[in-house]
Amino acid sequence: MILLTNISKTYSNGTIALNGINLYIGKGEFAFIVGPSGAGKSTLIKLLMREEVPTSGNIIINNFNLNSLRRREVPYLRRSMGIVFQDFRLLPNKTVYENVAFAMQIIEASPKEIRRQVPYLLGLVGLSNKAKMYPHQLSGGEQQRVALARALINNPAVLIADEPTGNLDPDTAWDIVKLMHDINKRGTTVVMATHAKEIVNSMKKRVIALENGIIVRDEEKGVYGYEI
Amino acid sequence: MVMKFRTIRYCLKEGFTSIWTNRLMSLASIGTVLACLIIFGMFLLFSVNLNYIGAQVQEQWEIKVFIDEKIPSHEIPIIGEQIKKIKYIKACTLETKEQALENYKKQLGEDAYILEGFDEFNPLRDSYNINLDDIRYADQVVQQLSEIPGIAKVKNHKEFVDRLLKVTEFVRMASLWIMLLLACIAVFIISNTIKLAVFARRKEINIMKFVGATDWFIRWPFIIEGMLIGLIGALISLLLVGYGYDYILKLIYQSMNIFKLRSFSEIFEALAFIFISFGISIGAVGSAISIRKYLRV
Ligand SMILES: Nc1ncnc2c1ncn2[C@@H]1O[C@H](COP(=O)(O)OP(=O)(O)O)[C@@H](O)[C@H]1O
Ligand SMILES: [Mg+2]
Repeated sequence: MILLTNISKTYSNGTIALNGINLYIGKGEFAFIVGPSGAGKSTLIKLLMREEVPTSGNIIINNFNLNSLRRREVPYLRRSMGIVFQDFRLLPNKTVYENVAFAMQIIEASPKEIRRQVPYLLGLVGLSNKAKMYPHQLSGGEQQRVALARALINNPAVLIADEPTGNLDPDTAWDIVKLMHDINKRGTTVVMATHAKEIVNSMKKRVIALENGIIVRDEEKGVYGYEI
Repeated sequence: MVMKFRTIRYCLKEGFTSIWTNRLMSLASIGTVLACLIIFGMFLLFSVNLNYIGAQVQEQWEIKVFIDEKIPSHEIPIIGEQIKKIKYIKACTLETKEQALENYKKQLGEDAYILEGFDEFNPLRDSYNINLDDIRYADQVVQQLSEIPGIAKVKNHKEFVDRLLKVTEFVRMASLWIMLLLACIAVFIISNTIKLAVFARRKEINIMKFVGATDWFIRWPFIIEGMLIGLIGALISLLLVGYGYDYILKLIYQSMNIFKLRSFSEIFEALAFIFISFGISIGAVGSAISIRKYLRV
């Protein structure tokens, strides 16, 4: 569950990235955040994962009230969400298996849990046979699958993705979005910021359109609605 | 903050890996710690031994009073009685001129032949050797001794002792300041190494952050890296200083035998403790500084 009330974000250089955002995304929803470059999509996602702090307004996410969140509670907020980026952010010197296991290691999961959970997730994203490969031996789509497996490994309630298909060709992009759809079907809330018009239009999911830091449209079963 | 065993193991592994990844910089850091501890160790050992010598001198230190030759020998014990009455005197023993000559010969060893012929005409005087409860009362006692009739001369090495104590104090202060200065240099170099290590792993740190690692989980490997650098430096310098000291002791004992010096086994434990805790501390402080500055978690 994600609730934003009157969220504004002005960066220290004076740029107003978000201006009075009110938004509710319920448990189990699948929501696209669309809009032209510079609209404020990434800023919104950074606020959710507490990489940035809003200038004003309040955010509640997965039972965490971000206004009263203490510094040392931030890691626990982040453990309640899985995050995926356009540039995958895998460790080049670790194998696929190790990259996914890493996310469990750093939250001090037991080796036993790690041995059980990692193969399961690699199976889920269809990469069981590539566990021993390194990121540079994989295609972009495969790398993003690894990132998805990593994001999901600690069973987050919310999956947040910032242009996850931005670096992928259309077919591969489709595979990734279908995978995210499957994940959503299993109960995980999914929030995906994207430019990909075709995908948004044919998925018929909720579309939240941002422009100059303001929500200009919020439709169930919406379409992208912009000419790119 | 209680850490799980596997987390400690993880931090150690990451620390070692990072040292190896940045081996050039790590080597420079270890070298600085090494140089610091070796110089510090030399001053420390020098100061410890000066102290030891000072204590021995104080222990052996005595006032010597020479009896006038004109005093007949049966009156000498009377002078002894008078000396013993003075306050703060612990012991007072007679050394006859014959004993004094014998002692001289012993000190000269092979060269004792110089003294041949002195047996018939002994130019030395009878004397009393006086030990005090405390060297601080020396001036007072010397004053009273010189008032006793029949005493020709009072010999007193207090100035030498004072000077030795002053040198000891100076070396102690100097080694303290040198230690502080060197520690600052070592901390600076280590913090630079850790800064580079943080920089080299910024991608990994970023991933750790958004996957939900706690601040301390991210920081510990770097702190451990710093402490390991300090520890390695400490162990190597302990080895070098230890062997070096043993070697120098042998050289000194070949040419000088007046004072005893601390043997290696006497000081090893204290030295090891100081070096290791000092090395680990400067490593930890160095990395803590860098982490505060460069590791935004
Ligand atoms: N760290 C930052 N400092 C200053 N301005 C920023 C920063 N990040 C983003 N911006 C600005 O905020 C606005 C929104 O950016 P962003 O959220 O990245 O948009 P989007 O992801 O929709 O392209 C843009 O004008 C951008 O230049
Ligand atoms: Mg963006």
